[in-house]
Amino acid sequence: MSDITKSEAQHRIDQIKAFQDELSQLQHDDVLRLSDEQYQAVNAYHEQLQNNLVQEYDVDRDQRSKQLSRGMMIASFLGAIALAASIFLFFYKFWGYLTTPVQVVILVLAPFVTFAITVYVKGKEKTGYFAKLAAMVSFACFILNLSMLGRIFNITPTENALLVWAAYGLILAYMCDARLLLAAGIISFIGYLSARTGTWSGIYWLYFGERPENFFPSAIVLFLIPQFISQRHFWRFDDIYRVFGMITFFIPVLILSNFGHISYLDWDADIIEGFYQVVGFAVSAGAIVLGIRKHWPVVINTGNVFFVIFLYSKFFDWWWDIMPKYLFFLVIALTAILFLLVYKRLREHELRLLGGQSS
Amino acid sequence: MKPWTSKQYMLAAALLLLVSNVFVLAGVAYNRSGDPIAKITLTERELSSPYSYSYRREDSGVAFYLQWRVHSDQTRYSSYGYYSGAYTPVSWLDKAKLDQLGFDTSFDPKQKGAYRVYNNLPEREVFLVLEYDGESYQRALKLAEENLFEKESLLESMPKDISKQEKTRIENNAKSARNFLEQEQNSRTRLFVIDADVNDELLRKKYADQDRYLVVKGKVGVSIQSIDKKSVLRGRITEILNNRIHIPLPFRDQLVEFSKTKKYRKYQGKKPRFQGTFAWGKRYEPWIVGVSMLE
Repeated sequence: MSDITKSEAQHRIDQIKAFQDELSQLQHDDVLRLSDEQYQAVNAYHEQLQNNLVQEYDVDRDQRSKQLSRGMMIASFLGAIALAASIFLFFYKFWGYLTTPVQVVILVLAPFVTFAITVYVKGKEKTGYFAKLAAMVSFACFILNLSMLGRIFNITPTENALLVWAAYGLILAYMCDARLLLAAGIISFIGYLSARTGTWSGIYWLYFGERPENFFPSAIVLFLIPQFISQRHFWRFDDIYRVFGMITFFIPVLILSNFGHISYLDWDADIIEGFYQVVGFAVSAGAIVLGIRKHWPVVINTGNVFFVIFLYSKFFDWWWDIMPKYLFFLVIALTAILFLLVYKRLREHELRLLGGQSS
Repeated sequence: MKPWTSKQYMLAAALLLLVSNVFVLAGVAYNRSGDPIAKITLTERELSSPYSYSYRREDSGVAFYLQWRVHSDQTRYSSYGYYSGAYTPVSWLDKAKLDQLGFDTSFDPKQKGAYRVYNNLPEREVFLVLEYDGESYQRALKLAEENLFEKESLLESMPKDISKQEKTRIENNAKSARNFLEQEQNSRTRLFVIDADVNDELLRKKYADQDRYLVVKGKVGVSIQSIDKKSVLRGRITEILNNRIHIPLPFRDQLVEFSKTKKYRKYQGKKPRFQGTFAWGKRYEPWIVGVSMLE
């Protein structure tokens, strides 16, 4: 049992529930009738299995439990953000009245102490929500630690801070199976690698955002991480890597498709914009196809969103000024219908393939 | 990827936190070890407090920015005063100097496409020399005096039959010129960026007087300017690094009331109320070493 992941455990619980519902329907329709012994044996087995899974993985046994878990997740997310902000502002409010040695001791100890609390809470509390909250606070304390030491001693800012924040965010994310911390670690990593890419081409590191192409290496690295490092033991971490990889790629492409003059490419701005528009359409369409083939719903959805953004931003450029507004929105509606038809065809194609496989 | 054990996570996190903090604090110790590379006393004129807005209003820390200026080809007093900042083209940052700083200036600025070439040229980190209360300041003072002379001459020679609107304009210009001179004499910064190089040793030898010159790290960008109807290259000082200096206890208590001073005080030509001595260490990171009040 210990070899499966939390998502696999939840899937098993859902499967048992579906089986029980279908079985009672079959019995009701007189299609299948289990003997009392068989019925009790299956029931006892499922009961035991569910108890074990709930105990070991803290998965949700029914719909109500799932809804409560979702509520806890949202509360934990909001709590973590608010608590991190509160720590920042608390230090801001009082740090001026402390001597430099006291400031340094507080700043250095804060991430250590909050990390120890995270480990303690994680050992004590099974759901993991409180440990995730403590871990987020510890991450905020580490950001505060390095950034405030920088202010106190007037240290020259460096992109290396982003790298150590990324590393700490990832350690906490993997330790607590926390997607919010994974996102925080990924954002720090994007900042670091993009800044580094910028410095390689001569840009001062803080200005890496001036050239959107600086984000491409981090986009590629993030998208490929789940291909090379399996994330199956962590709840939807592969989705987070892929979505961040795609966002880090498509937003710069979207910017470059409108503002070609900020590109590294030594071409005419109009040609650069045209080039990135083609790249945007081709890669987002490619992402949809890849997502369908690999059964990656988040890749399909993200590809969809960006394909539509690229398409509608072009429609806006071409027609907003010259078309009557009712006609413009009619064109938008017609393209949406076109999308529906394309997806319907794709769905039928998929169903045919599945039918072929089952026969 | 298999999850690590709790022990492995604890070890990795503890090591990361420890190494990061040791690295940062060792850097601070190195910067402040031995004799500082520069030590200079500046007044309130050369320091400005950061803007506080939103949550920053609750920030109990005190800090000051170094206020610096440059002389430009277009340096003159207009009805808006004498502006100098990150977008000001610097007169001595010409093509030869930009070449020396490592910029590729081979593309002719008069050619088509030159704006795109030079706008896309990345800024470079170089060493800059700040001159305190020296020749550059005397030049600024002289410009302000000449400006006042010009505006007052116009006022004195004003014909009697001009329109009321024109009369008001000439009177206001003379009044502004008097105000600008007062600011230049009493409240505007006397810190001017006067030279740049990629070699800091060279600059420190050339400008050895520590009471007057300060070598700092900064950034230079390039732009095309139209001077005498000709397109020429000029550098811009876009930033001085480590320009914000934190004021720790006990100096904070002496300076906290000045850090909350409204920005327009400097534009009223009021005299400075305090001075501070600042040191720059081996990594060009500054710190405050003394504060005294001025009469």
